[in-house]
Amino acid sequence: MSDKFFSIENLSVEYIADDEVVKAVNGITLSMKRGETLGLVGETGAGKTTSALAVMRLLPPRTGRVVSGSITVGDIDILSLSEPEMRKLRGELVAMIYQDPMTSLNPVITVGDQILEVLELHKRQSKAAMKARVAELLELVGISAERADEYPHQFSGGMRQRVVIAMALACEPELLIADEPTTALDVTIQAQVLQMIRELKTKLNTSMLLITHDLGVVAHTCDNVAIMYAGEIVEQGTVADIFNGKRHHPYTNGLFGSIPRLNKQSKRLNPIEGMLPDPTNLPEGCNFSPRCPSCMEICKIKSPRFVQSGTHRIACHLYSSEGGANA
Amino acid sequence: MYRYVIKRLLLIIPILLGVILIVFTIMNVTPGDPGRHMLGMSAPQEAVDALNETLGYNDPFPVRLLNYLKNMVRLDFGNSYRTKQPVFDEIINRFPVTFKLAIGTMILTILIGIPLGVLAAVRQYSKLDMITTFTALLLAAAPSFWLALLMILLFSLYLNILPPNGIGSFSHYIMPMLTQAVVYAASTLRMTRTTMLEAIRQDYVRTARGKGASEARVIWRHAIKNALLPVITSLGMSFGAMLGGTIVIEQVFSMPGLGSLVILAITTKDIPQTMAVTIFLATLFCMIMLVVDLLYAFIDPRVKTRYLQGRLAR
Repeated sequence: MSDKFFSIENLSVEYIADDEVVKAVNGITLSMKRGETLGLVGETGAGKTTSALAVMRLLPPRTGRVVSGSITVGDIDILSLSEPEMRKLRGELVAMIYQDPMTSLNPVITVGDQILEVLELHKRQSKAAMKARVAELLELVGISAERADEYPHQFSGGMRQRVVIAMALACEPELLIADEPTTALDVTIQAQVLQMIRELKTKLNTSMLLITHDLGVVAHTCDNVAIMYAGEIVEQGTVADIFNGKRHHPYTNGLFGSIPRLNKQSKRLNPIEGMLPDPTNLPEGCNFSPRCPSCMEICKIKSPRFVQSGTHRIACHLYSSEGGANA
Repeated sequence: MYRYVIKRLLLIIPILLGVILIVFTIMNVTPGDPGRHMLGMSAPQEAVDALNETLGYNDPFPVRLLNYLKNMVRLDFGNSYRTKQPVFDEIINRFPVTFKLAIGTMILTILIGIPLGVLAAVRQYSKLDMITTFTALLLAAAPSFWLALLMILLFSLYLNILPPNGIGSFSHYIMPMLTQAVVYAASTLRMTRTTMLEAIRQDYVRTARGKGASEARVIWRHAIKNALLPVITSLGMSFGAMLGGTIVIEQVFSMPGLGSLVILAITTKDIPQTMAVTIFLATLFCMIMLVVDLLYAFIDPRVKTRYLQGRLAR
């Protein structure tokens, strides 16, 4: 635990909508070392993007707020910074690749100027030097530098995602948050973009928090994985723990089970029955209990605690009797 | 792009034909005849009939319309029945008054409406937002003649700092501009607030914040250009309306502008004058809208692409 570079401790985030309180993130704890990639996996609405926005301190003002917890990057306590201090870090120390490339770029500013802006804000350089850097960045993500003067609508979805990536990498951030960077792309482009991110990451020794719901992407890209469900982390471990381990949280089993396989005869898909619980009204006990195929009496009363074995942690009552001693 | 401009300019012709047809018909089928108006109530009927005959007013309607169009093609818009002078003399004399009024109003509208609208949006639900939005609603709903009378009461009668009517100096223009601007600024403010509220919730604004941009930069560089697009269209239309429809303001403040000319021409059955003013204003309006659309392309690259694509598709 000594060489942690990025850590989230017991983070809870709420949204206030009308008179309801939406508990989007409920006490998650994550950490990673410099240069590592941590995959944050879960279905839509599990609180992945909210966690990422909390790290950037970009939660929607007024409606979203961090209830408790701490976020540390390097030795900086993100949540205690003033807004101007935070502004200096955004784009420089921590940068984010956004989910939807179609809406994440400003339609009335040229792509080159949008990348240039990051440099303007953080680097004291001559205009010419920054322009040269923009050209370099565009080439880096596989876009011809001549296209810097074009507008986002002149680019395809995959190209725009590359522009968003170039923007995030402009100042060589130490922590990169990639929020479903490939979800909006078709499969061939997905592979290219992922490959590119991976190469860039190795080159710059950047740590990355990769948010996705695609287990294939996780297997290819990540060192560690955290599975998120209804604002909580239910299972956490190395890629090997999650993909090859014997014991899993029933939700993780459900996730893997819902991937259709070509080598097995099955007439139907195997979805996880039910839906995410209403975040304004979470169930008693384990959040997954209403959908869990192996739900027990205790699950409906008591929230499970983490059961640890090596690097692998599971929050489920199924394993607490065996591993309860060191939980 | 220039092909687009030419296409738009050519489109003005059918629009003008439509305007001419409608206004000419209304002027010719409504009761009253120009002879009686020109000679007065006490003139003998024979003289009136004779004058109507020389003016061509006794010809059948289609013949009159055709004659008018024929003369118009030769750029002969006729003489005013009232002043006996070519109709455009009067228009050229009066246009500067209306134009100055419209420009001043426009500048005030932009200076008041847009910054306050942006501010109200950025500080949504604050006291400032509530006060400006409520005041704007009130002013947008207030009839401008009433506002004008209140202003005269305050500035001319009680404070005695501004002249109540006429066009002698710049100070004569202040109240008319203010009265009009208040109404237009109110609607501009409300519109800017709405479009701005939408813009600051867009993903690209979050992206800008994520780069470390300050709040001011996010608003004035990223959000405003997108938010202003619909506002510009509405401002363009307002400007056209100001040039043609300042009738109420010009009447209340006794300004000899185009608006009061329209009223005068209609009430005296001055057909050539009415037609000329209408044609002039319609052309002006079309030109303004063209400028607005070009401005749009200048601000929004997507629109520009569409114009260029339109050219390729032909």
